[in-house]
Amino acid sequence: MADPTRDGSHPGPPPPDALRALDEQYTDAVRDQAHRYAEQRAKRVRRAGWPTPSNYAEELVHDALASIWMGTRRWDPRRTPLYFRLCSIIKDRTWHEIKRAQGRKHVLFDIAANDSAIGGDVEASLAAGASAGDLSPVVLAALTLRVVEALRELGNQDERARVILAAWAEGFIERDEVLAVTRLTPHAYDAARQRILRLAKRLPPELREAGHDLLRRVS
Amino acid sequence: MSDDWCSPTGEFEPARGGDASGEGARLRNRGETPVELDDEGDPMLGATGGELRMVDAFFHEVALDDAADPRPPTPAEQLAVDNLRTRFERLKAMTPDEQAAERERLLALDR
Repeated sequence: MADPTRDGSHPGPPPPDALRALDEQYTDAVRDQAHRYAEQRAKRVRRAGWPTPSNYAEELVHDALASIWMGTRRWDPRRTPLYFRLCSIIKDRTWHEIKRAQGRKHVLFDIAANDSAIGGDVEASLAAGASAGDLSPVVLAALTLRVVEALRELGNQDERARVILAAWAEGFIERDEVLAVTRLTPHAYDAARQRILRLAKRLPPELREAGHDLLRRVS
Repeated sequence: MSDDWCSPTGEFEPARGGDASGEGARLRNRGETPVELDDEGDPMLGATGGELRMVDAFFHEVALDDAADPRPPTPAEQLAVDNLRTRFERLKAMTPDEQAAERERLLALDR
Protein backbone atom coordinates (compact mmCIF):
# COMPACT_ATOMS: atom_id res chain seq x y z
CA MET A 1 0.00 0.00 0.00
CA ALA A 2 1.26 3.45 -0.87
CA ASP A 3 2.53 5.58 1.97
CA PRO A 4 0.28 8.66 2.10
CA THR A 5 3.06 10.69 3.69
CA ARG A 6 5.18 10.32 0.57
CA ASP A 7 2.82 11.49 -2.14
CA GLY A 8 3.93 15.12 -1.98
CA SER A 9 0.66 16.50 -0.63
CA HIS A 10 1.37 14.97 2.76
CA PRO A 11 5.12 15.31 3.08
CA GLY A 12 6.75 13.22 5.74
CA PRO A 13 10.12 13.37 7.43
CA PRO A 14 13.22 12.94 5.27
CA PRO A 15 15.13 9.64 5.28
CA PRO A 16 17.08 8.84 8.46
CA ASP A 17 20.45 9.43 6.79
CA ALA A 18 19.37 12.95 5.80
CA LEU A 19 18.18 13.66 9.35
CA ARG A 20 21.48 12.39 10.68
CA ALA A 21 23.43 14.55 8.25
CA LEU A 22 21.31 17.56 9.14
CA ASP A 23 21.95 17.03 12.84
CA GLU A 24 25.69 16.80 12.17
CA GLN A 25 25.94 19.74 9.80
CA TYR A 26 23.70 22.20 11.63
CA THR A 27 26.51 23.53 13.79
CA ASP A 28 26.88 26.93 15.44
CA ALA A 29 29.17 27.97 12.59
CA VAL A 30 26.51 27.09 10.01
CA ARG A 31 23.81 28.81 12.07
CA ASP A 32 25.96 31.94 12.27
CA GLN A 33 26.80 32.01 8.58
CA ALA A 34 23.23 31.27 7.46
CA HIS A 35 21.98 33.99 9.79
CA ARG A 36 24.38 36.53 8.27
CA TYR A 37 23.18 35.56 4.81
CA ALA A 38 19.55 35.83 5.94
CA GLU A 39 20.20 39.30 7.38
CA GLN A 40 21.08 40.55 3.91
CA ARG A 41 17.99 39.02 2.35
CA ALA A 42 15.87 40.37 5.20
CA LYS A 43 17.11 43.90 4.46
CA ARG A 44 15.92 43.55 0.88
CA VAL A 45 12.52 42.29 1.95
CA ARG A 46 12.16 45.23 4.36
CA ARG A 47 13.17 47.72 1.70
CA ALA A 48 10.55 46.19 -0.56
CA GLY A 49 8.01 47.26 2.02
CA TRP A 50 7.10 43.78 3.24
CA PRO A 51 6.32 43.88 6.97
CA THR A 52 8.79 41.75 8.92
CA PRO A 53 9.53 41.16 12.61
CA SER A 54 12.81 42.41 14.06
CA ASN A 55 14.15 38.85 14.34
CA TYR A 56 13.14 38.06 10.76
CA ALA A 57 16.57 36.73 9.74
CA GLU A 58 16.43 34.22 12.59
CA GLU A 59 12.95 33.22 11.48
CA LEU A 60 14.17 32.67 7.94
CA VAL A 61 16.98 30.37 9.05
CA HIS A 62 14.81 28.40 11.44
CA ASP A 63 11.98 27.99 8.94
CA ALA A 64 14.43 26.84 6.26
CA LEU A 65 15.92 24.30 8.65
CA ALA A 66 12.52 23.18 9.92
CA SER A 67 11.20 22.75 6.38
CA ILE A 68 13.96 20.24 5.67
CA TRP A 69 13.49 18.51 9.05
CA MET A 70 9.75 18.23 8.45
CA GLY A 71 10.12 17.14 4.85
CA THR A 72 8.33 20.08 3.23
CA ARG A 73 11.60 20.92 1.45
CA ARG A 74 14.03 18.34 0.21
CA TRP A 75 17.75 18.15 0.76
CA ASP A 76 20.23 15.63 -0.56
CA PRO A 77 23.29 15.75 1.71
CA ARG A 78 25.31 13.83 -0.87
CA ARG A 79 24.94 16.69 -3.33
CA THR A 80 24.80 19.94 -1.37
CA PRO A 81 26.21 21.04 1.98
CA LEU A 82 23.43 22.03 4.38
CA TYR A 83 24.52 25.67 4.51
CA PHE A 84 24.00 26.20 0.79
CA ARG A 85 20.62 24.43 0.86
CA LEU A 86 19.47 26.65 3.72
CA CYS A 87 20.54 29.75 1.78
CA SER A 88 18.76 28.66 -1.39
CA ILE A 89 15.54 28.03 0.56
CA ILE A 90 15.87 31.46 2.19
CA LYS A 91 16.54 33.06 -1.18
CA ASP A 92 13.49 31.36 -2.68
CA ARG A 93 11.17 32.51 0.09
CA THR A 94 12.45 36.09 0.18
CA TRP A 95 12.33 36.35 -3.62
CA HIS A 96 8.61 35.60 -3.50
CA GLU A 97 8.08 38.09 -0.67
CA ILE A 98 9.91 40.79 -2.61
CA LYS A 99 7.75 39.99 -5.63
CA ARG A 100 4.55 40.17 -3.62
CA ALA A 101 5.61 43.49 -2.05
CA GLN A 102 6.50 44.86 -5.45
CA GLY A 103 3.22 43.68 -6.89
CA ARG A 104 1.43 45.74 -4.29
CA LYS A 105 3.44 48.81 -5.27
CA HIS A 106 2.68 48.27 -8.94
CA VAL A 107 -1.02 48.11 -8.17
CA LEU A 108 -0.77 51.41 -6.32
CA PHE A 109 1.20 52.93 -9.16
CA ASP A 110 -1.31 51.76 -11.77
CA ILE A 111 -4.24 53.01 -9.71
CA ALA A 112 -2.56 56.40 -9.39
CA ALA A 113 -2.00 56.59 -13.12
CA ASN A 114 -5.67 55.93 -13.76
CA ASP A 115 -7.36 57.75 -10.93
CA SER A 116 -6.35 61.33 -10.29
CA ALA A 117 -8.63 61.45 -7.25
CA ILE A 118 -6.32 59.23 -5.24
CA GLY A 119 -3.09 60.18 -6.96
CA GLY A 120 -2.21 62.49 -4.13
CA ASP A 121 -2.16 59.63 -1.63
CA VAL A 122 0.17 57.63 -3.81
CA GLU A 123 2.44 60.61 -4.35
CA ALA A 124 2.60 61.06 -0.61
CA SER A 125 3.45 57.38 -0.25
CA LEU A 126 6.19 57.62 -2.86
CA ALA A 127 7.56 60.74 -1.20
CA ALA A 128 7.66 58.90 2.13
CA GLY A 129 9.47 56.05 0.44
CA ALA A 130 12.00 58.43 -1.07
CA SER A 131 12.73 59.96 2.29
CA ALA A 132 13.33 56.46 3.67
CA GLY A 133 16.00 55.85 1.04
CA ASP A 134 13.83 54.41 -1.70
CA LEU A 135 14.84 55.11 -5.26
CA SER A 136 12.50 56.56 -7.82
CA PRO A 137 11.21 54.07 -10.40
CA VAL A 138 13.14 55.88 -13.12
CA VAL A 139 16.45 55.81 -11.25
CA LEU A 140 15.86 52.23 -10.21
CA ALA A 141 15.13 51.17 -13.78
CA ALA A 142 18.38 52.79 -14.91
CA LEU A 143 20.33 51.03 -12.13
CA THR A 144 18.75 47.68 -12.91
CA LEU A 145 19.69 47.98 -16.52
CA ARG A 146 23.24 49.00 -15.58
CA VAL A 147 23.67 45.83 -13.52
CA VAL A 148 22.16 43.72 -16.29
CA GLU A 149 24.44 45.37 -18.84
CA ALA A 150 27.50 44.91 -16.64
CA LEU A 151 26.71 41.20 -16.26
CA ARG A 152 26.03 40.80 -19.97
CA GLU A 153 29.24 42.64 -20.84
CA LEU A 154 31.19 40.26 -18.65
CA GLY A 155 29.38 37.35 -20.27
CA ASN A 156 30.34 38.58 -23.72
CA GLN A 157 34.02 38.51 -22.77
CA ASP A 158 33.95 35.35 -20.69
CA GLU A 159 32.31 32.22 -22.10
CA ARG A 160 32.20 30.37 -18.80
CA ALA A 161 30.74 33.34 -16.96
CA ARG A 162 28.14 33.60 -19.70
CA VAL A 163 26.85 30.06 -19.26
CA ILE A 164 26.66 30.56 -15.50
CA LEU A 165 24.67 33.77 -16.00
CA ALA A 166 22.39 31.92 -18.41
CA ALA A 167 21.80 29.23 -15.80
CA TRP A 168 20.98 31.88 -13.20
CA ALA A 169 18.55 33.50 -15.63
CA GLU A 170 16.82 30.13 -15.90
CA GLY A 171 16.48 29.91 -12.13
CA PHE A 172 19.31 27.49 -11.36
CA ILE A 173 21.34 28.80 -8.44
CA GLU A 174 22.65 25.89 -6.40
CA ARG A 175 26.20 24.95 -7.27
CA ASP A 176 25.45 21.36 -8.25
CA GLU A 177 22.49 22.46 -10.38
CA VAL A 178 24.62 25.00 -12.21
CA LEU A 179 27.37 22.43 -12.70
CA ALA A 180 24.83 19.99 -14.13
CA VAL A 181 23.24 22.37 -16.60
CA THR A 182 26.42 24.13 -17.71
CA ARG A 183 28.64 21.03 -17.75
CA LEU A 184 31.41 23.14 -16.28
CA THR A 185 33.90 21.37 -14.07
CA PRO A 186 33.92 22.44 -10.41
CA HIS A 187 37.24 24.19 -10.95
CA ALA A 188 35.99 26.09 -13.99
CA TYR A 189 32.77 27.01 -12.19
CA ASP A 190 34.56 28.31 -9.10
CA ALA A 191 36.96 30.40 -11.16
CA ALA A 192 34.22 31.88 -13.34
CA ARG A 193 32.04 32.57 -10.29
CA GLN A 194 34.91 34.49 -8.72
CA ARG A 195 35.26 36.58 -11.88
CA ILE A 196 31.55 37.36 -11.74
CA LEU A 197 31.78 38.30 -8.06
CA ARG A 198 34.73 40.60 -8.76
CA LEU A 199 32.27 42.58 -10.83
CA ALA A 200 30.46 43.50 -7.61
CA LYS A 201 33.65 45.08 -6.28
CA ARG A 202 34.12 47.04 -9.50
CA LEU A 203 30.60 48.45 -9.46
CA PRO A 204 30.44 52.12 -8.50
CA PRO A 205 29.72 52.41 -4.76
CA GLU A 206 26.32 53.93 -5.37
CA LEU A 207 25.43 51.06 -7.68
CA ARG A 208 26.53 48.39 -5.22
CA GLU A 209 24.55 50.09 -2.49
CA ALA A 210 21.67 50.40 -4.88
CA GLY A 211 21.85 46.67 -5.34
CA HIS A 212 20.26 46.38 -1.92
CA ASP A 213 17.45 48.57 -3.15
CA LEU A 214 17.36 46.92 -6.51
CA LEU A 215 15.74 43.74 -5.36
CA ARG A 216 12.88 45.49 -3.67
CA ARG A 217 11.84 46.28 -7.23
CA VAL A 218 12.49 42.88 -8.69
CA SER A 219 9.20 41.54 -9.88
CA MET B 1 45.72 20.61 -24.32
CA SER B 2 43.86 20.10 -21.11
CA ASP B 3 40.66 22.03 -20.86
CA ASP B 4 38.08 21.75 -18.14
CA TRP B 5 35.38 23.24 -20.32
CA CYS B 6 33.42 20.27 -21.63
CA SER B 7 31.13 21.84 -24.15
CA PRO B 8 32.93 24.11 -26.62
CA THR B 9 30.02 23.92 -29.01
CA GLY B 10 27.72 25.36 -26.39
CA GLU B 11 25.06 22.75 -26.90
CA PHE B 12 24.43 22.59 -23.19
CA GLU B 13 24.05 26.28 -22.65
CA PRO B 14 20.82 26.89 -20.82
CA ALA B 15 19.95 29.90 -22.97
CA ARG B 16 20.19 27.79 -26.10
CA GLY B 17 17.84 25.07 -25.09
CA GLY B 18 20.13 22.70 -23.21
CA ASP B 19 19.36 20.96 -19.97
CA ALA B 20 18.19 24.15 -18.36
CA SER B 21 15.49 24.94 -20.84
CA GLY B 22 12.00 23.64 -21.34
CA GLU B 23 9.97 21.77 -18.79
CA GLY B 24 13.02 20.60 -16.91
CA ALA B 25 13.90 24.18 -16.12
CA ARG B 26 10.57 24.60 -14.39
CA LEU B 27 11.37 21.97 -11.79
CA ARG B 28 13.45 23.28 -9.00
CA ASN B 29 15.14 21.90 -5.94
CA ARG B 30 15.34 18.36 -7.16
CA GLY B 31 11.82 17.07 -6.88
CA GLU B 32 10.29 19.72 -4.69
CA THR B 33 6.99 21.19 -5.68
CA PRO B 34 7.36 22.29 -9.31
CA VAL B 35 7.63 26.05 -9.60
CA GLU B 36 6.45 27.85 -12.68
CA LEU B 37 8.96 30.52 -13.59
CA ASP B 38 7.57 34.01 -13.86
CA ASP B 39 8.81 35.23 -17.22
CA GLU B 40 6.78 38.36 -17.35
CA GLY B 41 9.63 40.60 -16.29
CA ASP B 42 9.01 44.10 -15.12
CA PRO B 43 7.95 46.70 -17.66
CA MET B 44 8.65 49.47 -15.16
CA LEU B 45 12.25 48.35 -14.90
CA GLY B 46 12.58 47.44 -18.55
CA ALA B 47 14.01 44.04 -17.67
CA THR B 48 12.89 40.53 -18.56
CA GLY B 49 12.08 37.86 -16.01
CA GLY B 50 15.33 36.09 -16.86
CA GLU B 51 17.37 39.25 -16.38
CA LEU B 52 15.78 39.88 -13.01
CA ARG B 53 16.50 36.29 -11.91
CA MET B 54 20.08 36.73 -13.09
CA VAL B 55 20.50 39.92 -11.07
CA ASP B 56 18.90 38.32 -8.01
CA ALA B 57 21.23 35.33 -8.30
CA PHE B 58 24.18 37.72 -8.61
CA PHE B 59 23.31 39.47 -5.34
CA HIS B 60 22.58 36.06 -3.77
CA GLU B 61 26.16 35.03 -4.57
CA VAL B 62 27.48 38.36 -3.26
CA ALA B 63 25.55 37.76 -0.02
CA LEU B 64 26.99 34.24 0.27
CA ASP B 65 30.47 35.69 -0.07
CA ASP B 66 29.81 38.43 2.46
CA ALA B 67 28.38 35.87 4.91
CA ALA B 68 31.62 33.88 4.67
CA ASP B 69 33.49 36.69 6.45
CA PRO B 70 35.50 34.89 9.18
CA ARG B 71 34.98 37.62 11.82
CA PRO B 72 33.55 36.43 15.15
CA PRO B 73 29.80 36.93 15.66
CA THR B 74 28.59 40.14 17.26
CA PRO B 75 26.62 39.81 20.52
CA ALA B 76 23.36 40.11 18.56
CA GLU B 77 24.46 37.44 16.09
CA GLN B 78 25.58 35.15 18.92
CA LEU B 79 22.17 35.55 20.54
CA ALA B 80 20.52 34.54 17.25
CA VAL B 81 22.79 31.49 17.01
CA ASP B 82 21.88 30.49 20.58
CA ASN B 83 18.19 30.94 19.82
CA LEU B 84 18.47 28.87 16.66
CA ARG B 85 20.17 26.05 18.56
CA THR B 86 17.45 26.08 21.21
CA ARG B 87 14.70 26.14 18.60
CA PHE B 88 16.24 23.19 16.77
CA GLU B 89 16.28 21.18 20.00
CA ARG B 90 12.63 22.09 20.51
CA LEU B 91 11.85 21.05 16.96
CA LYS B 92 13.42 17.64 17.50
CA ALA B 93 11.42 17.11 20.67
CA MET B 94 8.02 17.88 19.09
CA THR B 95 5.15 15.46 19.53
CA PRO B 96 3.50 14.04 16.39
CA ASP B 97 0.62 16.52 16.77
CA GLU B 98 3.01 19.43 17.13
CA GLN B 99 4.94 18.19 14.11
CA ALA B 100 1.77 18.07 12.01
CA ALA B 101 0.91 21.64 12.99
CA GLU B 102 4.44 22.81 12.26
CA ARG B 103 4.37 21.07 8.87
CA GLU B 104 1.13 22.85 7.98
CA ARG B 105 2.63 26.19 8.99
CA LEU B 106 5.68 25.58 6.82
CA LEU B 107 3.59 24.49 3.84
CA ALA B 108 1.57 27.68 4.16
CA LEU B 109 4.76 29.74 3.87
CA ASP B 110 5.42 28.24 0.44
CA ARG B 111 1.93 28.84 -0.92
